Amino acid sequence: MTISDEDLMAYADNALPEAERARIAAAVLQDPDLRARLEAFNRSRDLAQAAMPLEDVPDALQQRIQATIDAAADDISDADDPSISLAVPPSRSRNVLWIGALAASVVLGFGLGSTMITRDAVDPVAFDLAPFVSALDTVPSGAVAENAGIETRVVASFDAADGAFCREFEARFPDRTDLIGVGCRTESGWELRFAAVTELPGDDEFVPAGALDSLDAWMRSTGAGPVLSIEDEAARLSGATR
Amino acid sequence: MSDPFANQVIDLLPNLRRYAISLARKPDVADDLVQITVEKALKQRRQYDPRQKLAPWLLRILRNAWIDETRRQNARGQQSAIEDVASDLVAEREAGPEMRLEVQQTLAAIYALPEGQRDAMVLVCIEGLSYREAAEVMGVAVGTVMSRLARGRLALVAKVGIDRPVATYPPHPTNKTGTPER
Repeated sequence: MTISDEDLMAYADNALPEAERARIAAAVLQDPDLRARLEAFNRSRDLAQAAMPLEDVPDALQQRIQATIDAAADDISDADDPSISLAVPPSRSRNVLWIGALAASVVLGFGLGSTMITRDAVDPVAFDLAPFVSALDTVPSGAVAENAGIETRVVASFDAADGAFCREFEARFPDRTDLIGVGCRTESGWELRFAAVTELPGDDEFVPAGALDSLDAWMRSTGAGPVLSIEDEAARLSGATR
Repeated sequence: MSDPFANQVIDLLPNLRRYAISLARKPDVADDLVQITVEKALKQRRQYDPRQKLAPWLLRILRNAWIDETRRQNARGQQSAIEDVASDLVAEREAGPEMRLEVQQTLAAIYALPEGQRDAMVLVCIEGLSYREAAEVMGVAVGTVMSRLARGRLALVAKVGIDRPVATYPPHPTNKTGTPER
C-alpha cells in the first residue's frame, strides 16, 4: 500500500474523510519513514505560522480603508437605484465610457455611476481597430508602437473562451484620451471585443482603476484564459504574420 | 452606520495585509493592494454569497488585483527585481532583535520557494483555508494545490530542519564565506 505525500499531508491537516484517515493512521503506525514525513508536514505548518504572525494593520491603512467604506456607504444611500449603486472613492473615480463590450449586460452591475453605453447603443464601428492592427500583429507585450500619432502599448496576450488569440492594449491619443482595449483575432481579422475610454487628467500616468475594474469584470465574465508566456505569444504572433 | 459586510471586511484586514505582503513583499505596495481589494469588494459585494466564507472571496480578489498589477508593471517595463525586494523584506524583519533565528530562516525559506508553492502554503498553512478554498483563490485544481503544498512544505522543513536546536544554527545560514559573525 503506497501513501502519497498528498495523502499524508491531508492526514496531517485533518482534511481526509474518516475511512481514509483510518487507512493512513494504520500505515503510519507501522512505518517509521511515514511517521517522519508526517512529522515534517506538521512541523512545516508550525514553522510557517510562527514566521508570519497576524499583525495589526497600520493606522494609516486602517484610516484609508475606513474612508473608502464610508464613501461607499454614502454612495449607496445617495443612489437612486440601489442595483447600480457603487462605491468609488473620490480619488479613483474617473469617467469610464463603455463601447461595444460584448458582455455589457453582465458587467452593468459593476458600473461606476458614470456614463455606460451598451453594445446596442453604440455603433461598434465608431472605434475602428485599423490603427492598431499592425501593433496587434507584431508588437510583443510590453512594447509600444506608434501609428498616426496614436501610441499603442500591448499589455498582454491571452486566449478568449472561444479560443481566439486576444491582446489587451492601451492606446494613447494625441488629445489625451486613453483607450483600454482587447482585440481578438478571428478568421475575418481583428475585432474589438472590449474597450473602455478614459480621460486622464494632467500627467497622470496611471490607468484609472475604474477602467481596469471594467476590464477585470469583462475578463471574468467571458472566461478569458491566463496571460500567455512570452514564448507562447511569440509563436502565436509568428503565426499571425504568415 | 453599521454595515455587517463592511465590519467583516475590516475584521479581515490583518489577514488581507499579511497575504498581500506575501505576494507583493513591499509593505507600501501591500497596503495599496489591500485598499484596492476593499474597493473591489465593495463594488462586487452583490456577487458575494453570504453562505460562503468571506476570507477566501476577499483573498481571491486581492490575488487577482495583484496579478493584474504585476502584468501591467511587466508590460510597462517597471518590473522591479523581485528577488532583491524579497531579500530586503527578510533583511528588514531580520533587523528586529526580537525575531528568533528560526523565524528568520523560515521566512527566507518560504520566500525562496517557487511562487505557486509559496502561495499554496500561505493560503493553507497560514490563512487556514481548505485545499478547495485555496484552489478557488488560486484558480487551479485542488490536486494542483495539494501537490504544490506538499512539495513546498517538505522543502521548507528540509531547509529549516526538523527539530534541531535553534542554537546550533550559524547566525546567517546564507553566509557562504564563513566569515565569523561574532
